Order: sequence, then C-alpha cells, then structure tokens
Amino acid sequence: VAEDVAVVNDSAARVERVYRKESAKLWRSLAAYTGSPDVASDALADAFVQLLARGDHVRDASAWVWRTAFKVAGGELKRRSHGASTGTHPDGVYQMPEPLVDLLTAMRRLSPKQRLAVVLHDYGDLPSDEVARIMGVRRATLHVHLSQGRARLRQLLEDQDG
Amino acid sequence: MDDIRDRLMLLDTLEPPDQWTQIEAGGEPPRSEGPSPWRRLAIASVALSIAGAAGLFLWRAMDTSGTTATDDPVAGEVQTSWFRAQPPEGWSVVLPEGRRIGHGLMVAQFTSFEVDAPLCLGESSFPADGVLVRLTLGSESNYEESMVGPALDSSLRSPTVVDGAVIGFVDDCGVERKLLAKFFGPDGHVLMAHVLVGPSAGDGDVEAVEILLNSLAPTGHEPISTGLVDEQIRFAEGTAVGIGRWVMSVRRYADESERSLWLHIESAEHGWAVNLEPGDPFTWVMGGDWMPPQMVMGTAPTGAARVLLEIEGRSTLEGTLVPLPAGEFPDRIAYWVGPFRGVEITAEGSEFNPDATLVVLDAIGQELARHEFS
Repeated sequence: VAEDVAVVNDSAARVERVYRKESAKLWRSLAAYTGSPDVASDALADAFVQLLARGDHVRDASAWVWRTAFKVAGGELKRRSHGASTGTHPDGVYQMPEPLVDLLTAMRRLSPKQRLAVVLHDYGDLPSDEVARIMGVRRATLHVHLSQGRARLRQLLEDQDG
Repeated sequence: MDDIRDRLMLLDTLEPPDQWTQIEAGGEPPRSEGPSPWRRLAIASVALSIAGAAGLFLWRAMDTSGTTATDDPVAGEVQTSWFRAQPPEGWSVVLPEGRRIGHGLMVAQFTSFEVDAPLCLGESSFPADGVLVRLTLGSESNYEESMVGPALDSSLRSPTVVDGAVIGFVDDCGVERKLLAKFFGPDGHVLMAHVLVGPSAGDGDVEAVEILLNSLAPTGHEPISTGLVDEQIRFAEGTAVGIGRWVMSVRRYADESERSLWLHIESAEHGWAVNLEPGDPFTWVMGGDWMPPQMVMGTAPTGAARVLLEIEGRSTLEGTLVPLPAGEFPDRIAYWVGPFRGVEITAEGSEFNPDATLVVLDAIGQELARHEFS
C-alpha cells in the first residue's frame, strides 16, 4: 500500500509539474480559440483530471494534455454551435483591455480551423506536426489554414486599427 | 507573420485561474452555462450540402431553364440543368431560392450530422480559385471560410449521382458522418446549397435548415485566378503492395502572403506531404491521416542509397528512393517507407512506434542521417 501511495504521489507530482509548465499558455490558447474563459478553464481542468487519472501511462504528458484540452474545447464548441448569440464580444471580453478585445473579436471572425491553426502554431508555438495532429489534418492542409488565418487576421486587425 | 505573433502576445495579459487544487481533487470541473439553444436540429439525421457559386454560363442556365429550386421540401429525385440527386428513401431535399452565392469551385458533400454537431466545411469544400463563401448560421456562428486550397481531390472530379449508398467518413471537425454523395458542377463553379432532411425531421428542423440556407450570402469578392495554387509537378508514379497506385508530386502553394513548396505522395485513399523548405535536406512526416497501413515519407540527403525504418520487434522496413525533378533540388532525394500490407507499424496500427528509428545510409553503409520517432 505504501508503494502504491508513493507511486500515486509521484505521478501527481509529475502532473503538477506539467500543469505549472503548460497551464498558462494552454489556458490562454484555449481562451483565444474558444473566445470563452469558462470553456478554456473547463477544458483545461478536464484534460488535467484525465491526465492525473492515467498516471504514468501517458508518454508525453505535455503534448497529450494540449491535444486533450483542445479536443474537449472543440466538443464544447460543438455543443454550443447552435446556441443563441452571445453578443458581439466573446464571453467576458468586456472586462479586458481594448486591444485584447479587438484581437479576440478578430480571432472570432476566423473560421474555427483558421483560428485553431493560428492559435496553436503562432501563439502556442507548437510544431507543425503537432498542430496538424491536433487538428486532424495533413501538414499541407494545416499550411493552408494557417496562411489563410494569418492573412484574414491581419486584414481584420488592420481594419480595426484604421 | 511577426506582426501576427506580436499581436498574439497580447494574450499573455490574460490571467489564467489556478485550478490545480480542483484538478488534484479529481472533482468534476464546474460547468459553465452554455447559451440557450438557437436551434436544435433535434432529429438525428439532417444532411447538408454546400455547393457554391456559378460561372456565367451556369448562372444563365439557372435563369432560363426553370430549375426545380424551391423553398419547399421536394421528395424523390432532384434534377436541374446542372444537378441531379436521389436522396435515400424517406429523405427530402430543401433547396434555397436559386441564386448565386459566390464564385468558386463547386464541391458538394451531402452529409448527415447529429444533434449538436456543428456545420463543418471540409477541406474538399474549398473552391480552388480562392474566393470566400460566407456561411452564416444564426448569429452565433459566422464562418467565413477562405476557399484557397490545393487542387481538388481527384476522386471528386466527376459528378456522382446520389444513389442512397451510405459511406462513412470523418470530417474536419473529427466528427464521424455519413457521406451520402459528393459532386460538383460541370465547369467547376459552385452554384447553390441544398439540405437533405431526414425522415424524422419535424417542422422546426425544416425551418431551421431553411434559415440556414437563406443565410448563405454572396461575399462580394471577385473571383481570384487559380494562380494561387501555382503548379503541381507529377514526377513519379508506381504501384506498391499496400497502397496500390501511388503518385509523387511537387506542389507550389502560394497566396498573398506566403509561398511554399511541398512534396506529396498520394494513393487512391491517402496522401502525405512534407515541406520542401531550404535547409536540412533530411525531412520526414510520420503516420497518416486515418488508419493503417501508414507510411513515413520525406527527403533524404543526396547520396542516400538506403532509407531504413527500424520498428518494434527489431524489424526493419526498407524505403523506396525516388529522384526529385531535375535541377530544383540538388541536395536531396525523395523517399517513402511502407505501408506494407500485413505490417503494423505499431501495436495499435495507427501510429509509429515511438521508439522507431529512421536511418539514411549511403552506398557503403555509412550513416548520413538519423531520426528517432520519440
């Protein structure tokens, strides 16, 4: 029993290290993708709870938790996809500084794929292979979404700045 | 691109909550309340077809031929001067008022989606000429897909009549759907959208899809020349166990902001690609899109005589080397390894063994490059 407890504690400590390392960037990426701090928090917590439950069975915990969190967030977005309008701003954006509101509002106008590609690649700094894996597309397809997303985001931000 | 990264750095001002205590407790994280449903497409099977805008010829045909376009559900076969479909038994079709909604390569996918599943435009819905088609679903979702994409999948190049056969596929959102048909117009331009409604759909569902259809709006963008996808050079082909016929090509993608060059290998069902960026000639892409058998492919330094993939169980798979088009790539040669019928790259068969090693050897067995998939 003592050994089991030690193993569990060691596993939890390992997950906590991953949490301390990844959670801030991951949460911000989720928030940018979903436009909702609530969905970001839920997805992140879900992913880490699952990681904790898997103990040492996950080989690359950081990559796994990013994939899982975005999968959870994607599911929540699907659940909400036929929901009512939440207004012109993403959830809670009204509490944020104006440049950030502008950014998130522009992000929201990208297609989901474009938004996901830009967030993961250009903000999350994930390698292309990993982004493509999370998105479930080929690298060539990722490139298309990424270049379109950047161009669209650039145009939207320029329009706002103008 | 740096300007985008700079703007994204603003996200660092967001203060994330510390949820570790809650996570460690293993408790269910608090669920945020979602918005009240705009429209529940509560019946399981609602099928959507996205087609797109017409070229001048098609537009004239629509104007003069008295097509069957109508807001009312139409049972049985649907036929216009450019389109024919036979929904499965019990299904009906809702057509919007026949009108042009944009420009682009016409691709239609009749898919079924379940309750709460989002509308998801797959990559094969991308017109090739780079024009936006706006799809507005209520006020919550406003997808403005930029329709710049690689050449259309060759399997979509001839019109297909819906015959009721149901084929499963996984869409870009990772949702399993039933593919009922896919086809496109005679001159490669998108004309209009249709929705197939399942037999158990109620009035509310039909109303919902009518609203959806009528939310399709012209973007006002003028067609862009297909110069956005500059060229595709097919330089090698063959037949192999496991995948049948394969074709290797170099494709140059370009848009207003970026240009890139990719090496592709495609079989009848799968495709893989790596970026041919200047720099290290040793590149690889692992895995595949959906299911085994899988392959690894990429480029190896010039002088490579063998490419070996060492997988679990001390097995070694030998790759096929393929010279790239002469002149452009003096520092590298293309290769691919697998898929081999009966050989599972991993125990699960869906990914490479994390311990797999890719080794490039020259003619005398000297190692030129190595990559560990771990």
